[in-house]
Amino acid sequence: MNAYDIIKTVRVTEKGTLQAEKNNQYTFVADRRASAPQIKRAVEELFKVKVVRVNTLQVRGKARRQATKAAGRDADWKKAIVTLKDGDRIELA
Amino acid sequence: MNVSVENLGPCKKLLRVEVSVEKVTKAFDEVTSQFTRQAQLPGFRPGKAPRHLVAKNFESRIQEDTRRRLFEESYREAAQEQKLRILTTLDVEEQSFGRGQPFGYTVTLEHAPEFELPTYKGLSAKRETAAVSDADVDRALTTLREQQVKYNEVTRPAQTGDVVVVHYAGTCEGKPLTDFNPTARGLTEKRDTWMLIAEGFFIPGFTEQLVGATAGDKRTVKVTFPEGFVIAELVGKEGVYEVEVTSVREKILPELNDEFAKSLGASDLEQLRQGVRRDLQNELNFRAKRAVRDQLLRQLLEPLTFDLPESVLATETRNLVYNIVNENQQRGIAKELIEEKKNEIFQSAQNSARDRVKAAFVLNRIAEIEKIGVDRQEIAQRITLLAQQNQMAPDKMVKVLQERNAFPEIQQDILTGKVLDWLELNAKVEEVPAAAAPAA
Repeated sequence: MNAYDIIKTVRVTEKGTLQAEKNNQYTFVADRRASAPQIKRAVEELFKVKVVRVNTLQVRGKARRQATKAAGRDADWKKAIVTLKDGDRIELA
Repeated sequence: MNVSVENLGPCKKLLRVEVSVEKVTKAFDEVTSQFTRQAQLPGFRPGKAPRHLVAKNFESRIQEDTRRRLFEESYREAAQEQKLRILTTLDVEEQSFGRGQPFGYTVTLEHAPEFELPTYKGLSAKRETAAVSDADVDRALTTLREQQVKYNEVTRPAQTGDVVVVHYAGTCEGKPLTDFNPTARGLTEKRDTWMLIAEGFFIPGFTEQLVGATAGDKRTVKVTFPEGFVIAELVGKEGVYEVEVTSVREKILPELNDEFAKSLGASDLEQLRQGVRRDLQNELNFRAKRAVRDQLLRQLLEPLTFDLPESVLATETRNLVYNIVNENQQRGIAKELIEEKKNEIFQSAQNSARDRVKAAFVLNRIAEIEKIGVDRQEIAQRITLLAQQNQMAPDKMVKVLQERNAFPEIQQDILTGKVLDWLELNAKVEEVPAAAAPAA
C-alpha cells in the first residue's frame, strides 16, 4: 500500500493538541487494514520525521439516525497515535 | 505614529498617517486573542482551540478587524494631534498593511473651518418696542369681518363698492377678441360673472361705467386696453363690450357685536378684542425678537471671513433648493417655470447656504465654549410640537423623522435657538420705540 493510502488525514483535536505538546504524539486516521509498522513507515516518508512508536486502535463508527431515513452508522476507522523522536515536529493543518 | 498634512483646498486636507510596526503587531496580537477567546473549531470546545490554529482559520477576519481598529484609533489620534475637527472623510487610501508591516494610509477629509471667535458677549442690538394700538385691533377686526362678508341683492342702481353680476361679450374692431389671441376666451365672453365696482378691477375703466345700472340693464362699455395688458396684441386698441347686468349686490359686513364674536369662537365682543390684541402683540413680540437676533447674528458674522467646507455647503444648498422647489410646487407654480428659473434658485440657495453654514459653525463654537447643549427632553418636546403641528401621534412622528434622518437637524435647530437666546441674554439690548406701526 502506498503511504498516501495508509495515512488518510491528521486529526486535529483538543486532546490531540495536548498530547502533541506533552509527549510529541500525533494522531492520524489510518486505513483499517494497515499495521503499525506500515503506518510508521508511511509517516516517516510523508512527514520526513523519525517515528519512535505507533499505537493503533479500531474506532467503531457512530450510529447516525435521521427521521426520514433508515438508521445507519459512520464507517469504522483506525486511529493511530504516533510518537515522534524528541525534536521532530509536524506542522498541523 | 507619523502624521503629515497637506492642504488641498478650503477646509480640505490630505492626511498621511503611518502606524509603526510595533503598534501593528500589538494590535494583531490583541485581535487574535479576542478571536481565540470565542473561536469555534471542530475538534475543540468553543474558546479552547490553540492560538496558531485560530490565527490560521480566521486570518481574513482578523486582518479586517485589526485594520479597522488601527484605522479608527490612529485617525482619531492624528486628528487630535493636528487639531482638526473632522466633518467628513471623503476618501481613504491604504498604502500598506499586514503583519510585520507598518500601517500606512492617506485620507482626504474635510474639517471645520478655523477662525478666531470674535467677542460675542455684550453685543448690542435695538429692540423695537411696539404696543398694539386700538386702531390696529380695529383694522384686524375689519379684516375678520370681511372674511364673513355677504352680498345681498338690491334693486337700487349700482354704486362704487357694489358687486354686479353680468354677462358680457367683447369685440375689438368689430371682431371677437379671440381672433386676436385664442387664449383671450375669458376676456371675450362670460356669463354670470361677479364684478366689484372699484377702480382697476378687470380692464381699467370697465367697472366704473357700470355705476348707476340696475338689474336687467344692458349697457355698452368702451375700454382702451392699457399699456402692459396681458394680451400684447390688444394693447392700445379699443374694446367694445355688450354688458347685461343680471343683478346688483350690496356688500354687507357682519356687524361688530357679540354675535359676530361668537361665530369666531369667542364668548363676547370684549373677549374677541382681547384675543385679537393678544395675537397681534404676540406677532409683534415675535418679530421684534427675530429682528434682535438678526442684528446679533449680523454683528457676529460680518467681521468674520473664513473658508467653508465644500461638501457641507453643497448639502445645505441642495436642501435649500429642494425646499424652494417644493414650496413653489405646492403653491402651484408650473414645473416649467421652476425649471426656467433653476439657475436663479440655485444661486440664491447657494448664497443663503453660505450664510447658514457660517452661522452654524460660529454658533456651534460658542455653544461648545459656553457649554450649551441639547438634552433628550428638549428634543422630545420639539418632536411633540412637530407632531401636533402635523396632527400625528408623537411616536409616529418619531418614525417619520427617523426615516428622513432628521434628528441631527432638529438638534442643530434647537441648539441654534438656545445659543441665540444666550447671545441675547448676554447682549446689550436697547429698547427703542418702533419707527412705524407695522401693518396688522
